Amino acid sequence: MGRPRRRTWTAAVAATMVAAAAAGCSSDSKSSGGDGGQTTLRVIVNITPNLTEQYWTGLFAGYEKTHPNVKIKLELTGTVSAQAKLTQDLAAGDPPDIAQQITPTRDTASLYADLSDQAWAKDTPLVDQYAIDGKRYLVGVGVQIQSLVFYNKAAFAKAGVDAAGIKTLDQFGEAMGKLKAAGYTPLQTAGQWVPGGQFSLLADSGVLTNDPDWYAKRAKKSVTFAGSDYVKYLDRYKSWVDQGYLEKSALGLTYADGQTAFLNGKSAMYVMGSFFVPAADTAKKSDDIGVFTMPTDGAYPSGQVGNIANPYVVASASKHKAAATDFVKWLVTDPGAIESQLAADGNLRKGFTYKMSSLGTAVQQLLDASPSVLVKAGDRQPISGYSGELNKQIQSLYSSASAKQVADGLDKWWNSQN
Amino acid sequence: MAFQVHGPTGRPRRSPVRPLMLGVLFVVMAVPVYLLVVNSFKPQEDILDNPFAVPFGDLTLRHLIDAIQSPQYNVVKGYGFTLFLVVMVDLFCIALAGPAAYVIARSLKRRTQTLLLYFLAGTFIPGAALIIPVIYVLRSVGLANTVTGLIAHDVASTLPVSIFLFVGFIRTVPATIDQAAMIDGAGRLRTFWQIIFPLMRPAVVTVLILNSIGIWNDFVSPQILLSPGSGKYTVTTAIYAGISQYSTDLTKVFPNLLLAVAPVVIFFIYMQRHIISGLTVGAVKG
Amino acid sequence: MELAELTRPADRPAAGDPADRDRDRDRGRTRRRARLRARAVSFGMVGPAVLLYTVMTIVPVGVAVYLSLTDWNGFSSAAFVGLKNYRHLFDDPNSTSAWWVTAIIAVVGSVLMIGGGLAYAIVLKEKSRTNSFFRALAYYPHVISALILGYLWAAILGTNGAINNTLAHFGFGPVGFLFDENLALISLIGVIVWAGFGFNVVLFVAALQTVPAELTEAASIDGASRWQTNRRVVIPMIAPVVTVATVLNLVGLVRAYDLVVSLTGGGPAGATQTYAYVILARSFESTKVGYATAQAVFLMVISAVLALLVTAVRNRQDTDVAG
Repeated sequence: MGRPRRRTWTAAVAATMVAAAAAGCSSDSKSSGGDGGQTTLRVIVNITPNLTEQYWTGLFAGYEKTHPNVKIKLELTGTVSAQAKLTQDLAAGDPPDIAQQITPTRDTASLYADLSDQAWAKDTPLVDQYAIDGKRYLVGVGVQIQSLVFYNKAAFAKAGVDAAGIKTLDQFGEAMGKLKAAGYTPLQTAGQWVPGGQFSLLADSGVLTNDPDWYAKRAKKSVTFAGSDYVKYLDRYKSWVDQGYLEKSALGLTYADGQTAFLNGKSAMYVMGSFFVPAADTAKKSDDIGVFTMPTDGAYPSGQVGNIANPYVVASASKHKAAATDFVKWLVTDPGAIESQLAADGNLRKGFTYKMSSLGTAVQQLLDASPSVLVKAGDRQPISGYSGELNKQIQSLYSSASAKQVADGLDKWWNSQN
Repeated sequence: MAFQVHGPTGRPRRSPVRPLMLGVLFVVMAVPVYLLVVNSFKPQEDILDNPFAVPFGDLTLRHLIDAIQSPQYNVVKGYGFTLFLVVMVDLFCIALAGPAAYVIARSLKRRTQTLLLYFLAGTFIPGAALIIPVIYVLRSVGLANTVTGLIAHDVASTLPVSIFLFVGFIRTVPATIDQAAMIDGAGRLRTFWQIIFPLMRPAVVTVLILNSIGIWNDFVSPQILLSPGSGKYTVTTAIYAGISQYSTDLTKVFPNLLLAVAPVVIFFIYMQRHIISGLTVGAVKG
Repeated sequence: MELAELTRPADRPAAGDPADRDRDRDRGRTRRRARLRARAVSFGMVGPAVLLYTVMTIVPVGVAVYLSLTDWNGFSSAAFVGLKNYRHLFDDPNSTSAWWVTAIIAVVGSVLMIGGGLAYAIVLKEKSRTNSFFRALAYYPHVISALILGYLWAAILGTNGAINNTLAHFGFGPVGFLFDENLALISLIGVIVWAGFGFNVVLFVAALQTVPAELTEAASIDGASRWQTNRRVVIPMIAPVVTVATVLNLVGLVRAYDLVVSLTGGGPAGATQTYAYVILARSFESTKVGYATAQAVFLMVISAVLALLVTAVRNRQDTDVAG
């Protein structure tokens, strides 16, 4: 009598486990789709203060309306960047169909679909700057420019500073002195990625205008940070920290906190990309804020450090490559989709206009006056992990580190990366 | 023990050290909770200007209600999924660890004893750092980015300590009880579940508390093993994902954090003695 | 199957009676079958646990060792690179600085947690309602997720946090709890100690309650002050528990990650990047999976050495502490 009973027990336990496991499985509905002619495309995007989850859902709904067979599934990345999320998904063997804000490199190009055969791709902005060995993997909606200094008009008036007169770094420093004397924090920064990002805009505008191939040369080890103009910019930056033009306490703020502080008029200037414009518009402050191009010790005006805006890649492993490609085509060529995305993130594209604020128009004029757009892509892209390391090193300037130590530290780090 | 209350040899105990230390302890431990609770009911300006004050006129439930109804990274929705994880992991852990511990505890063979050491080796492994190869393994068994994969990993991570505690407990149960059951014709599995398992209540409670709190608070495993794209958030991953979105808005930060800690704290207040002894035993013996 | 062995002598028939031989053979067969079945059942009872544990815990260790010898980036095919990743552990500035940070956190944190734990355990050792309230008060952070504690403390210590906003009322500039490199590390350790010392208090109270009252009484009759009694009599009595707690604290702190994510994010200037943080937030995110696993293996070895220490200490003393 014992035997059948025992078997029942075992069977019961096993059945419970299988059932539970199955329940677990069925609760993670996957993208495969396909049934009933319905295709589900999984898209990972970066969520930013401008490009919120609601924004993306609304944008994608426009495509779903005209393509009833396609369902777009937005995959949020939480606070990790799209790149980190993609790494995670790829490592898990479960990549999405489309990713926004991912830049392919020579090593990773095979992961993405080659869009070179798509006729529409050749007319998208900056597509050839981002091509790898002549192949187009990445297409984008517009251009972001970043060699910009936003300023608080009231603060400048009070301190008696004329924005049009700031063309060199000496003039920039002088202005900061006056602004500080007038009771303002001269230059707004924040914690997280902001110090490294701002320094990059400042220094790259000068260094890359002189030598657009600087990062390619650094990768070949024919130049070093310590032996380049970066040291001069580091020195400047350090002296601004020492003079209190940049506040150490800002390192305890988030990016959003820093932006809010500038919008609230606590600080006089803010080095940031064109994507700051919509934030100022939303806060209804854009008429109180002006913008000028990055001062430099070389040619003036310098080239604008820029990058492709809202770039998309299609995963080569996608099961719905055709559908995914068609969706990406819509994202980067449909006039409605383009205008919505340009406006949402303050991006620019030749031939497209949207209702811009005075600040947006001013940024557009700076782009028009700029001799070049400097793009750090393809061979001109710094090695992976660089922005994180630069940010860490720049933050150390707020403590005891000297410009020389930071430049050496960057070289040491770069050389240690394979 | 009762004698100790009066202190050694009745020396007067007027030393200021004790009240001072308890005062410091009270302030340091209670102030964060006080700030969390009070600021969950205050508007942003009051939080910024007077974080420590209680502006009776301005207190509002609005922000807490907003957090409960928030469409994004909703912590309350996270309760459901986290609770599901906790229950699944608890069930599987008991179902797997119980019988295994029974066999190990009742065996006199060296080979079976080595098994116990094998399980104990698991406590040497730093979970967070080793999560990357777990992705690799889950991928090769087709469970990457699935809830099943996460549960499988979590259950496995609870096994070493659970089995260890169970084995220790079963060894205190006289083997004559099993023999009596066997003579009555019960098989081993039935002997375990019907005779031994009911006797193991204290050990089972300890294991359940240990696992439940561990899984409820876990951050790395759900964050890395479960794609954010799955749309499933535990309490911790919901807070993590949400806080970058609303970090400047303190009327969201405080209520969400309050919602995140409330269930555990309430559970702790009710089950204090079990939890303290359970977690301590688990950590020391595991 | 072991139970079958235990019971065997009882039902083993007296050998030799030829009339019983047939029955004997039959019984032998049944017994053998019974034994096989018992073995199968035992196997069925241990098997699932062993299998799941092996696949989810032991295999990943093997995979980690394997991946650490490759340049795998998480997706493309991996090439074998020998010990390159391990050599890189020592020339990668982030890796070496993270070791310092981790070691400081582990050592200073453990010392403070043990010291604070002992001090409060001595104050709270007697059984009373007040004391159990204070013990629970010291203990409660232990049941809350470290991630959430970190966010709470960030809201208190941050530039816009409760303390700095209050100081601003009195005209004081912000204190760099989280933005000054040295202070941020101190804040991180402070929060770790705040969250963890209550566990030690409970552990030590349990141990102190086993110290016989006669001992301390004898000491005070001999004229020892309370401090002397505690130092010379009580603490040595619970030394084994203190040792266990020390190593537990060390092992736990070497793995610090969640709190770093939420409190400081490793900043400013990498001053609070722990080893576990560097693995997940730097190496893994920049798709250096092979290198990240080498770092993980290294951390695991350190953890194992510390954990072995626990087991060794525990085996030697075999004190039943809190049970």
